[in-house]
Amino acid sequence: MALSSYKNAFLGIIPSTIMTVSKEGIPNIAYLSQVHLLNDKQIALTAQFFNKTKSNLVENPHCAIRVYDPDSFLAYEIQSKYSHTETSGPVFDQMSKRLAAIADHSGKSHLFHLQAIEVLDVISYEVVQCESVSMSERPLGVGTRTAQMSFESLQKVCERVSEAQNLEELFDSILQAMDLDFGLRHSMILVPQSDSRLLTIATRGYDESGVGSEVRFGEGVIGRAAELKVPFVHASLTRELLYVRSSDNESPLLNVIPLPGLKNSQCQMAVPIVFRGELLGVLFAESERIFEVRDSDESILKTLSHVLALAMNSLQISHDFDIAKPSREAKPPRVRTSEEKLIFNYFHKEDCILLNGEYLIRNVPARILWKILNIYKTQGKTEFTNRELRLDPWLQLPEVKDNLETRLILLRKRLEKKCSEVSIVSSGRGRFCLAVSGDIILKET
Amino acid sequence: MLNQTWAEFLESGVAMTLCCCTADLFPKGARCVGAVVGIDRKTVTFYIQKDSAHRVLPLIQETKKIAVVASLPSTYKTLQIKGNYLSHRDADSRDRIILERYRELFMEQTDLAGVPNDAMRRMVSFPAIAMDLEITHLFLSTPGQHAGAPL
Repeated sequence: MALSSYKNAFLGIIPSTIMTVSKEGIPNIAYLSQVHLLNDKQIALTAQFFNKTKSNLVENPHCAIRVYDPDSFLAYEIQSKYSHTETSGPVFDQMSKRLAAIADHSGKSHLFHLQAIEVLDVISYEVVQCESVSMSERPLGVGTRTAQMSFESLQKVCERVSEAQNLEELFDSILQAMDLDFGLRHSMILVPQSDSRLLTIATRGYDESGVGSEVRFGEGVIGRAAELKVPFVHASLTRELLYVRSSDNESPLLNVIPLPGLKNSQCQMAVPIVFRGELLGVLFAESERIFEVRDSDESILKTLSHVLALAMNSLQISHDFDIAKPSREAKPPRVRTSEEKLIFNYFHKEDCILLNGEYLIRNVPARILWKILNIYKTQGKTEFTNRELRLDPWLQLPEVKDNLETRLILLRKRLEKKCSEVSIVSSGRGRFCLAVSGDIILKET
Repeated sequence: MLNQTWAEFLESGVAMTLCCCTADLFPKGARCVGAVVGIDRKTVTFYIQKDSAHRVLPLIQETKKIAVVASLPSTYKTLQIKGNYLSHRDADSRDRIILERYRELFMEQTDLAGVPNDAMRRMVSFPAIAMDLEITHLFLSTPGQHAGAPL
């Protein structure tokens, strides 16, 4: 069998080692942070604390790498020969970014800064069967993961996705399916903004919804999946090493909504949703259990990503070309009545709205809200169409791919969470109703 | 010579891998499943699962040179021992008690490190070979700037 058949052994859940020998015949062993299988004939190692190993490889290029399958505890001993060192290039960049994702916010970036990668040619490998109980003796019913990333569960996910009538239903159904069919309870979807940021549009399984929180491209697992448009799977690292926690000082209003996340996250995956080369979003899931998602799940995750991309694109097109007709069945949205005055303050410079002094929303959704509240206040109008929003130059929606639907979803969810006296509800494709209860005051700063 | 702290470290739940080599300098490894430090702390008995030991013993007997790395899974504190092969024998029932004790300590450690326990319990430790090694060099191998420093 080819080495690529044993991808799980390269996850590093059970630490890997490299064995070298000096020209005097003195053996040496070092633990490895990462072993990457480049292809069946080459592997790459991230070189960080490699003093003796490196000097031995220079003297004697023959080495052996030990990796372990975390399911079976089988050891694979790979006889290799040092080929070359890389300090730049696509492989180096990809491994560097993977390591940087781990180093983010670990406080040990100086230790995790990748200096070089050592590329080894694979000569042969041996499965060391005798150090663990054989698979045939494995007790029934013992498993190390609860997630079910199979093609059968993928089929169920696709069925749920195909039933979605609009983008909001699609996002909710994806996260529900991740939970019920894949067994990944904590997940979220982020969509790209025009300013190289990702906006959290839907979440499931967290104490705080975190809808509206942001991640920069290139930051953490999520940001890097978006930047590189490749899935990132971390099967065994703690959240502190993986996760992006914004420490942005650019604007005090920018990160007032914290990104949701598990305190004891042990396993994370971020899958970019890409359609014809364009990033439509990132699907992220995490677990408090180690090893719930694995590299071997990659084909399923990629298939899921393609399905989601097609579904998102299809629903976006159906919204874009929909003729806005009033729906007879549309009911006015319910809102909580309140005696409290609702003071909406729009800050032009920061492009955001504060409600009674608390952050509500920023950017395009803030402008949409500001626009419709003003129209409501001056004209009493409560029915709006997507088309009229698109034609309004003040909203500054891009002419192509304006993501208006996702912006309206975000706005609706933020209002639902922060201001139940004001609500927007779809009244048919391409149109929505605004409902306001109580006295609203609009201020501009 | 091992000090008391490192001797206790070696007899705790550390993960251990042994490396030896062929005469033409190709390395080969084996997992150690227990260790007992000699009273003079200049020798260590390492235990290797029997079939696994048979993979490496001919090489060890030929070249005599051995390295063993021992690392505590919960902290990554790591010690590397280099030395010379002295002798080996089949582990007996008394050794088996040592191996069972090591196994439990090791499982506690891997549990702390978040490694799936189901997998680790598949580790085979008996029958085993007990191999004596004479220590020649000790190195701190904990990942970091001081990795490789002699002790």
